[in-house]
Amino acid sequence: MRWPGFLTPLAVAGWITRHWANLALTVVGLNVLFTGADVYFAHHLDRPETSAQWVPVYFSAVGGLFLVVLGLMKNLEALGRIVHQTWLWLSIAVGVVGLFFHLTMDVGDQDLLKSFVYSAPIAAPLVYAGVSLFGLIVLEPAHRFTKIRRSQVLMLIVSGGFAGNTILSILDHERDHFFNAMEWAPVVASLFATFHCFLLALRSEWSDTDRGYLFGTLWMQFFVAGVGFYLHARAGLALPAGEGVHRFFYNAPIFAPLLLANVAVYGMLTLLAPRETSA
Amino acid sequence: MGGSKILAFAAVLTAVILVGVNFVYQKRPAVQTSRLSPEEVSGSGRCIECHARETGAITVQFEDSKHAKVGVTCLDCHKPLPKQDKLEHHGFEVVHEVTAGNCQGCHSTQYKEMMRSRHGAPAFAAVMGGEVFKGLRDAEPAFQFHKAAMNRGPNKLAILEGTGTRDTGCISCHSIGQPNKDESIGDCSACHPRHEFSIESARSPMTCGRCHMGPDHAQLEIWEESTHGIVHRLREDKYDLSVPSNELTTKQQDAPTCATCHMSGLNDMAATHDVGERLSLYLFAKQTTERDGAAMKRIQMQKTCGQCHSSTHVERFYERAGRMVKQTDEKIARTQKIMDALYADGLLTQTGFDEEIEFVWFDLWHHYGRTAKHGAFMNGADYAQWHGAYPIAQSEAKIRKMAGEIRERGGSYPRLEEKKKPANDRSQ
Repeated sequence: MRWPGFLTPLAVAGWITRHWANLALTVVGLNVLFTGADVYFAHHLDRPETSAQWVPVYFSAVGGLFLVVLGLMKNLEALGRIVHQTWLWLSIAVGVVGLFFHLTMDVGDQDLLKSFVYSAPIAAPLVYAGVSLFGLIVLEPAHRFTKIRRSQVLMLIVSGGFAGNTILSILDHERDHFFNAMEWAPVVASLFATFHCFLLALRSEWSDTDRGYLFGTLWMQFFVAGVGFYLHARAGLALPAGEGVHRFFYNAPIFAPLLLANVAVYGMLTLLAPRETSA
Repeated sequence: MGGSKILAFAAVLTAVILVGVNFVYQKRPAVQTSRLSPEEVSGSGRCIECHARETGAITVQFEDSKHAKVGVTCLDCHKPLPKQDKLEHHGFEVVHEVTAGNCQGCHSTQYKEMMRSRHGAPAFAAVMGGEVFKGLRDAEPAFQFHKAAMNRGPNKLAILEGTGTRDTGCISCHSIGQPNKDESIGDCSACHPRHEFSIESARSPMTCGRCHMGPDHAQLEIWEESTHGIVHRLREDKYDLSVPSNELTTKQQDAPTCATCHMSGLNDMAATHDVGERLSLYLFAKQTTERDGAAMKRIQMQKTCGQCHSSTHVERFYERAGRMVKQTDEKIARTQKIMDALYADGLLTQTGFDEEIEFVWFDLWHHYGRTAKHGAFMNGADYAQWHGAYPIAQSEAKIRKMAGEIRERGGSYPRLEEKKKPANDRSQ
């Protein structure tokens, strides 16, 4: 069987490269939207005690849609760029304020590790900051990157995303004492990806071999995310907790493993960014 | 650095960090790092994530339970029934205090038997009175089979001692028959401690002895003194107390605990949760009376005795113990006449527990009388005599003397509240 010409990997990669900025910003917008849904469920399950807990939900709904629409704009003119950047900075602020609230939440326990395990996930609000920072770097004109390539900066952000995933994987799975040995898989995968992306970000030039290896590492994240999604869904169906759709939120959080794939998408976008000359 | 070197370097860094994480992990207490068992996870689902650390002991007990092995989950027992207090608990709606109503969903036969027994509503009514059970459907058997125990007011001694004593003392045991918000009655965990609910713990004399001990009903001490208790302790490592009641034989347990004689389906006996099903007499009362259906109940207990003893031995034992009970009742009746006369002559108040002689009288029948009678029927020689018959005689003599003094003073024997006042207090 032969692929239609426009669906060959090369053709797809070419299309992505041509529409890279719009695509990256649309992904950021969709990510903010999806994060809003995730925050809604996380805060809803705990029955929001303060109105501040609704802020990220409303912000994601409005801001996410806004960012998606802006991302679909053909020409990112100056005004669009400024509006876009303003929203992204706001998004970062929401993430940082969220981080503050999560860190200062009283869980009534003096054991620091225990607090991190059972309190609101400390790194979660930083998802806003991370993806928005990625968007801001995408929006920066290429000529502003003089000492370091844009792709290197983006790769550093991706590395940070994987580092966050590593921490979340450890803390979340620590809740059930790593009951299943498979729970170490996302820790190992995301930790490896963290270092791989970080080391690559330090290099000013990426060879095809470098890119190929990183593609391999990123595909590994998709694979681990897929297996994790299946295992979490299976736990939701099997364990005696909650009714209906709640089974998937009160048990192993069904969307959590997809964070690996989420960060991997940004890694892919970084690899497919238009080639720049060495800084 | 080439692509393969980056990969290798990343792999090394990953390995180093993982070794570091593992090192830190190993430094933590074992209770925090030990892996959960499949039983814990399948039985509790997400509950175990927090409760393994927050309330670790109960998860260990639950893991060892038969409930966990057959797939009973936390929510099966903690799901609120109508009228129970619902607790929003991290997204789950649970009942904190599980009642007999929750247990009876699966154990209805045991619950019905319990409702007929003194462990049901009569146990609670003994402290709080029977009024609280009026209108409860599940209390109907208690009103039918234990009329006197149910149609009574709150316990005078409990009122005298105050609610603090009542709630930390009396109710701790008498809550076995408490009325629950879901309109069920009883607390199964009184004999089946949470969260293992094992048949072994229910068969342990220590479990029964939690309440059936001390000066007012020294059954645990009497059992320990008896041949039953001695042989049981000598051979208990040979016993398998986990055998289901309807499968228990004298082969698995050749010396009984409380549950063996009063409840178990030993050999071909039928198991029961009505602890009075094999008891023919109310030994606890001032004057021993026969229970409803006493003849059949006596046959049931004698049949239980017959699983290990010859009928001649059982008959001789019943005759001897019966004689002890009769003579003890006579002694108590004799003293009661003295007390009744004092009341009739207006020399004592009708309040109860406000005059010293009433405490001596209470000790006589409530403590020593019961101990003598229980000692006789449970093969506790020392309790029948030195802790029973002897102090009865001593108390009788004391009461005679005190009664004489009260009559001499014309009823002016100082009462408790008067004794508390300073000698020069003339305010009233």
